[in-house]
Amino acid sequence: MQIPHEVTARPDTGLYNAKLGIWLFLASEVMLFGGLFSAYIFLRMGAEDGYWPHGLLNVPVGAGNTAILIASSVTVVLAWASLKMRKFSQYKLWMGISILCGALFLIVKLAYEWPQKFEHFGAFIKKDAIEHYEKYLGNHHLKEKGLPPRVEISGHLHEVEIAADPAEKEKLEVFLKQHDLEAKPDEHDAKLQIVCSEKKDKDGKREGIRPGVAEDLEKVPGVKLIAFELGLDPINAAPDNPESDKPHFLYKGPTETPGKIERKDVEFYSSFAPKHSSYFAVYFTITGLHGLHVLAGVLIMLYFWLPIEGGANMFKRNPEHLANRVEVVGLFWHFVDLVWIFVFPIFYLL
Amino acid sequence: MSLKAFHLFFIVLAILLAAGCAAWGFVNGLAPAFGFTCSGIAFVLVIYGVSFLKKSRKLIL
Repeated sequence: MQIPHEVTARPDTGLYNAKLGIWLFLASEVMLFGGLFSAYIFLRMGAEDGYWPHGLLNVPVGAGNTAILIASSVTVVLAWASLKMRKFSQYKLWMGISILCGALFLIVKLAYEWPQKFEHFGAFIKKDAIEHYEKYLGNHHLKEKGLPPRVEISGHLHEVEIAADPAEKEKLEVFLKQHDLEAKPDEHDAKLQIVCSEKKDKDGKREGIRPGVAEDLEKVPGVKLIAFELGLDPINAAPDNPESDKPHFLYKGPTETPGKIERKDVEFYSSFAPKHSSYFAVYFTITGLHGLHVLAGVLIMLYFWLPIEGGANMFKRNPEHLANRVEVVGLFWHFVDLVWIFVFPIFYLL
Repeated sequence: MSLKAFHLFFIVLAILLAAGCAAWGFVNGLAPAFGFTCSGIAFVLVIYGVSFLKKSRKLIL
């Protein structure tokens, strides 16, 4: 049975079925992302001074990804126009480029941007202990300039100092072995104080401890976390540097400048994971959901590109029907790119 | 709305984004090179948008 109005427009709506369907779907998507962007605005407006980070994201990488998505929107329109002109080889070329652009965007996100966050350590300092960490926070300098204070110290976690109950030593040893950690008795108290760090890599470079491992270590019976030793982020390594007072373009990773934070002074610590702060919660929710949409778009475009029934093979049988399908995926792809056009400035620049 | 119209709307927003990024780069001398690059991209997008509009009028899209 032939379904009517797959190729030609319905007389009452002026649209073929799939186009009406995609616009209804996109309307629901606007409400979904609109709600999330509203959440972002309220969380940001309600954030206490110092609890909304700036300059943690890599602007050149984000800008590059934005350019990739904008280029892919152009190529998907060229693919559709090629089909309308019945130029099949051009369609394959432009659609292929669109798919590659989408895949490249996802690779950058999954292989570089997100993993980097889960390796990064951040500790919010208790209000009554902030003065002790002035050399890392630079709040006197910020106050003179009328800028909001800093409450977080971040960087690359090198070592954690713990006190272990000798009676629970076996459980600690199992944990250390499971996580490939090195434990060395502290010179001050060989029995109780232990400094843990992950083993060195092949080049002898210290890899440090992932913040998640430090959190799990604290849950081992008989273990009490004493202090964190880290390679500080530039903002904490040189807090009085005027360059640290404003957003920056080039991302500079943690320095080798050492910093030590007592566990008792820490209100909350974690990697830059969603639980770290409202900022990262809303960042991962929006970029994660957007990433899923990109993945869906890439898979659908791939389906229309491959020489299969319902895909590119449809060109021989009914080229206008394939053009309509590509138009629909093009509308979806433009919406996904449009969302990113809002995501990039609010998270990376502002 | 067809893909053609949505594409034009998208290009207008992309131009605004590029212009905003250029302004961000120039403010306080944060990243002048980024500012110039974004200005260039905005300019290219304007040219592309106009040429797309002209060409799409000739084609039945």
